[in-house]
Amino acid sequence: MIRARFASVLAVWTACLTISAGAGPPDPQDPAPQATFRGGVNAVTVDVTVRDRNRRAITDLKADDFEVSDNGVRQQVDSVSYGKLPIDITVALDVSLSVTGELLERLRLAVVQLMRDLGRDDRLKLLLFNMRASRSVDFTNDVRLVEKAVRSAAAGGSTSLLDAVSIALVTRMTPDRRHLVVFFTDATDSTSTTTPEVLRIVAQRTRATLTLVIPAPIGPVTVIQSGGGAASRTPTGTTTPPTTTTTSMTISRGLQLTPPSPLEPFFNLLTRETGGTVLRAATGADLSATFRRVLEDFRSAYVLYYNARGVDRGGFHELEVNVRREGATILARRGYWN
Amino acid sequence: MTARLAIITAGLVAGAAALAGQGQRPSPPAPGQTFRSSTDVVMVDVSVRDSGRPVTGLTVADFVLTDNGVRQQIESVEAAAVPIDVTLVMDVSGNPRGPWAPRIPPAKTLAAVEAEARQVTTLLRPDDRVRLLAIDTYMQQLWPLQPVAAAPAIRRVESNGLAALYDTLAVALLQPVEPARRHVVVARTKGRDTISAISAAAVRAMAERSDALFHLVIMEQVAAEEAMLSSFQCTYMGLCWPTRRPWVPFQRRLIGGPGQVLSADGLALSAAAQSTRGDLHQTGLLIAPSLVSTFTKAFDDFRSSYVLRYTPRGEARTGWHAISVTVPKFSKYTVRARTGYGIDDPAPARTPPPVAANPRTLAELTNAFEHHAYQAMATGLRQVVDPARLIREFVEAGNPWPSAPRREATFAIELAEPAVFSLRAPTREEGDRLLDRFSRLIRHPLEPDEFERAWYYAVLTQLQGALRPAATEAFADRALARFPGEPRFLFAKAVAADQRLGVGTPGGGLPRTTMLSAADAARAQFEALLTRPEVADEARLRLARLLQRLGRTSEALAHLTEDRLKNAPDPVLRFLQRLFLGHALVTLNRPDETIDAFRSALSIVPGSHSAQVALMNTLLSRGDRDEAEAIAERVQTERTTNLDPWWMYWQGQYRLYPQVIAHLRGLGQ
Repeated sequence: MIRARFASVLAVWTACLTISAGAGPPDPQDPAPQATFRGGVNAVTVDVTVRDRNRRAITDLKADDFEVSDNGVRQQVDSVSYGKLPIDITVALDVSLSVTGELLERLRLAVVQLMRDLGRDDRLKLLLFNMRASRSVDFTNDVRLVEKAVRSAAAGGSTSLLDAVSIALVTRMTPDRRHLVVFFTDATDSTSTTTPEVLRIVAQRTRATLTLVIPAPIGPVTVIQSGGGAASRTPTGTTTPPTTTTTSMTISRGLQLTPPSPLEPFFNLLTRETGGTVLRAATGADLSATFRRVLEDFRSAYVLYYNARGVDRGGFHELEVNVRREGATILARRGYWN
Repeated sequence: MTARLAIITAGLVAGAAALAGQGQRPSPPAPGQTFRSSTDVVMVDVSVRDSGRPVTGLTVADFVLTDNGVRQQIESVEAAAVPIDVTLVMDVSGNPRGPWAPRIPPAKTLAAVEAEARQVTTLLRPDDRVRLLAIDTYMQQLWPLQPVAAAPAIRRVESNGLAALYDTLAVALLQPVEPARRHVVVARTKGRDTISAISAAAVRAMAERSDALFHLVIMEQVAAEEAMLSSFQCTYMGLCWPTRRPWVPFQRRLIGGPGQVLSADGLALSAAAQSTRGDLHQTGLLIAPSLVSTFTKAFDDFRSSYVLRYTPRGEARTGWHAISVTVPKFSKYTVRARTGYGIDDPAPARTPPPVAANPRTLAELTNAFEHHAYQAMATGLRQVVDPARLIREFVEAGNPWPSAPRREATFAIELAEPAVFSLRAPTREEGDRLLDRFSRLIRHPLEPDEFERAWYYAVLTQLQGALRPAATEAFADRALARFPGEPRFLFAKAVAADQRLGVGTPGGGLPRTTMLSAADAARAQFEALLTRPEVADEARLRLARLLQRLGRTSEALAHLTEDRLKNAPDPVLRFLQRLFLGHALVTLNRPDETIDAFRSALSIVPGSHSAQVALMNTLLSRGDRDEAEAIAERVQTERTTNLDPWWMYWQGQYRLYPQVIAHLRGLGQ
């Protein structure tokens, strides 16, 4: 799986998004948690995941290995960091009527395990949603607090999934941290006031990476959905999303899945806008493993820094990221909004 | 010569007396005065005549009234002409042995019945009302109770069947009487009953407890002469017509034997009539009885009677109360009043079991309902594991309140709710069967009444809430057959058509032609309701939403900016109007007006989750990131249990269900 992340920086954001002042690009192998990068008024950060043909993360790339175009204008990548910034994860659990019983219990166990998998400086926030989105636990690394909150979650109500996604994305972020939003949901929606069109605009104007984990009721199958074009691009990957929302599914072990929610094609598109993805996880499968994979994928991303030059500051900036490595596939955010 | 009695609670006294409008009015209650429901007031109709002419001008001091021998203080005497309700009952049944009697064509029967009934209506005043019943195999209501001038042409009457005489008389006598009105029942029968479920003695018992004045005309003699003639022709002349009936029903005759004396049943009905100060009238040889002349006689007497009012003293409340009314100063006057009235013993008091906190068994739920513990009942019902089983137990156990079928029908709706909302189809079907069963049981024998209307409305709001468009449409059709044109039922159908499109994007998952067809149906139904004031605002709102979903934003906007909708009395509608207006303006890329609309919605329902999220999205799109983030923070940290009206939008009028079911409970008591 490939993933990417970006952040645009307006003048007013500059102070926030300029990571701690320092000299020179970071060493990709440097385990220090803080990246050093001197930004300007047009400083942009982009999360990029690079994998080889076997889906293994490629971890030895340097700034010169990346080619970034911002609205078609080639940019100079000033620095690259890998796995250094602390992570904030918002886990949003669908507690509407559609996710109940044993599935909800497995979900509880998976979130607790995810909490234990976090790094020392990482944090997790728990958002429970049905027709209403409620923050159950704010960002913390206290496992017991999260475990208690998950275990006390009660199911019921209708589902405002699009509203909850919008709320999670719009929520203010801490500047020097990467932000992953993971929704566990059956991808049905009955009472959102947010339309898909509006949510797409919201996603373009926010920074977090969105990933959906959708339970599939049949068989011990973990399915990874990927867009039509990304997996086949060689020798250099591209961040351009597939031109169609039609989903191609890779189904391991040959078990049939239930028909996808009508919203799944939209979420395929939306998550790719943010550099995230949609995962289907069989209810009988180990949800803890699925969540761990989500975390590892997000953690194994490069963060590219550059100052946008030669492009208008305002409006939507379409991004294209390539890497000089044969057989590599990359995933990065499709663009950002100033 | 009439008399009338009413036992009414003190709460009704002031209203009844005030409605009389003339004569002695009761004093208004002093400050702090309270009425007790145990203080019953008795009103007695008294006819006073001098040589057949009504005597007028009598006062309280002229009357002496005893109740079970104890003289009572008469509180008021009124001689006002009170409006009356007249129930005419005509026997159109056939002759059970009638091979010799050519059948009267139904059209001829219909014309005769209508002519006679209209003749009676000419004697009535504009504020009087009339009801027309016909006796045949089944009781038929040809005219529901209605003002005299409104009586429509009779379109159809079933005749020549069996005779449900006693059943029909019971229905006529048991009709409730409003305190400010009097009820007269004038019935004409052919003198026999061949199919009723109840007896003549039961009719008598009902008459004694009825507030109606009851006159009965028997035309048995005519039929008897016909029978004798035919028997003679067959036996001695060989003129036997082939029988039309393979089975001759058992006859309960009012007159028996050659002397034309009253049978036991006839005597019972005679006593029944006299207990109300009415009478039983027999006709002469081969002379058709006149309903009109009988009514005229009763009517004159009724109009000119006095109403004495007193509060019983010195007597036990329950049991039979014999009444005697005299005018001592004028011994030559003929005074007619009812002979008495009965009050049943109250049911023995029993200690009710305590209401369970979470009633889940049928017994616990029944107990909770009986004690008006509706909140506990709702909590318990939500926890019922097998709603279908609960319903089966309820059906098998029968009515927990045998004397209150409406209460049972109300309880049935409440029990059905968890099944109706179930995700399991068999459970839903069990709930539907229960509602279907009660939709037949609640039918009033005369005409659709307010309870039936409220019952259907409760069912339809429940089904809308469960997003069950097919079931909603089926019940709406059934309700509309009983209440043609009822706007709330038409509205339920329109909501069901809208629900068929699914929530969100219309027709998601439906073939395009199906979607368009459903959309057209929903649109046409909402448009037709724009002229019905009861539902016009909500129909317009839902029409606008539908148009918006179909991408016809400009048309939606025209409805959403309509003044009446903007100022609808229902705050939920006003809120949704602004929310939808905001959505339409988003589509038209008018962000400032969009934000104004969402803020206006929030002024109506502060804290609305949907309006806050919509505002947050718009602010972010416009570049107001700080405020958008502040709203995102607020909505996920608010701790409130308030329901957002938008969350219930797709459930139609289910938001009104608490009020609707509460109203029904009141009617069902």
